[in-house]
Order: sequence, then C-alpha cells, then structure tokens
Amino acid sequence: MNLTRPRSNVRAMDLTPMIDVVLQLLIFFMFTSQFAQLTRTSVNLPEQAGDKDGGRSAPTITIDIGAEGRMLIESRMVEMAEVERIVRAEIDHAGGDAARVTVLLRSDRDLPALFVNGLALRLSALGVRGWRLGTSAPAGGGS
Amino acid sequence: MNLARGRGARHTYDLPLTSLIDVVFLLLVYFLLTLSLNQRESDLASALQQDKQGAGKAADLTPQIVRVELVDGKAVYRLGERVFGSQRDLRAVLEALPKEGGVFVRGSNLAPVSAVAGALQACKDAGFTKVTYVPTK
Repeated sequence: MNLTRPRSNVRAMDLTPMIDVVLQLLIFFMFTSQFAQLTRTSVNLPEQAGDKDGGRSAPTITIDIGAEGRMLIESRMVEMAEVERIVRAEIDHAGGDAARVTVLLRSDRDLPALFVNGLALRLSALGVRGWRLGTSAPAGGGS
Repeated sequence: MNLARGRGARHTYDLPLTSLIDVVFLLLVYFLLTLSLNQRESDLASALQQDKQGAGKAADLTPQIVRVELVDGKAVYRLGERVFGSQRDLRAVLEALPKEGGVFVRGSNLAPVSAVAGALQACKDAGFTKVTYVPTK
C-alpha cells in the first residue's frame, strides 16, 4: 500500500530574477538613450512645427549654436576648425560619401543667420548636402 | 487504499509580484522625471546648395527664390518683387506656385534664425518637396 503523495512533474519556474534583469536592462537602455538627448544644450529653438515625416534617420552630427553664437557639439564648445575635423571624420566613416552625412543644426532663434550661414558654407564646401534646422513645437501645438 | 488527495486537489502558484511592482514604480518615477526635461523638438530638412555647377545641364524649371531679410529691424520674406511680413502670407502665395522646380531659401546674414526657419516651414507647408538653403556669403 503506497501512502505517499504522487510527485508532481510540474516545476515552478522562479520568474523573479528574470523579471528583475529584463526590466533593469530596459531601464538601462531607456536611460542611456535619454542621456544621448540630454547632452544637447538647452537652446531657444525657432518655434515651428517642423517636417511632418517623422521616419527619417537620426542625424550624424548635432551642432548647437547658443545665444552668443558659440558652437557646441555634445555640450562641448568647439571652433570652426574642430567642427570641420569632426565632419571630415564622419565623412571618412561614411566611406567618403559626404551625402550620407546629415547635420542637425540647433540654433538660437534670435541669433542672426550670419552664424548659420557661416557654418552652412563650410559644410557645403565639405560636400555635405543634408542638413536640418532644429525647431521646437509651438506651445499651442499648432503649425 | 489510496489516502492521497484526489484529482480535485488545487495547485496554486504564486506569481512573484514584488520585483514587478518595484520596476513599475521605477519606470513611473523615470517618466515623471524626464517628462519636463525634454522639450518636444522637430526639425526642418533641406538641402544645402553646392558650389558645383551642373556640366552644361540647364534646368528646365527655375526654382522659386525666397529671400529672408531684415528691413527696419523686422524680418521680411521677399519673393521676386513681392514682400511679405508674415509667414502665413508667404505660404499662401507659395501654395499657388508650381512646385516642380523646387524652392531656394536665402537667409541674409542679419535676418534672425527664426525667420529663416519660418521661410523653410512656409515652403514645406506650401507643398514644396525640394527645398534648398542658400547661405549668404
């Protein structure tokens, strides 16, 4: 006579560490992507709705131009020669094809276009064709 | 004689909710913190005019040229002989123009960047797909 209970073959999987690790990874990636955006300097961008097609690729280089006309890349102040060096490096990285390099220019809205023009002329001389002017959505959300 | 509990026995499995709640609250805090940090940004894409000239290939269609200038301390948009004081007026006129040749936007060195962005936005809103920015030397 067998009085022992039949052993169940079902093993309860402990989900706790898996959930922990997966969600911590999720948080990690979300934070790092957020930090990539936070390296952008706070700039008073022109208030425009911008392009409606949102499916474009991320820009290769983001250049900020602050209220005093100072250029910054990843919150680091740079001179024009340094910008040129970085752009050249990106062109080399793109296999020498300057058309594959896109520059996002985030300029202060009240700044004279002199600074933007100066930079655009240098980029144009380097063969860069694709560029974008950063804007911020109007407060009302309209265009 | 089988004294074990029969088929009707219930097997309950506890789902470990502690870590899930922990992480959900962390996510909540994260979103609350970052919500106000990031201003919603967009951009206006355009091509930069290149110095290289096409080898004897004359364009059949002449692009429209919008000039952004500063007159008496106020930014204005010039399209041919016409001068517009507002982005809306510029857009209304651009909408009626043929789009095939594209449009050039030339920002003078004194015009504010906001006005240059306004001209680019008006061109986009008017339906131009080929928008080229021509920097002033």
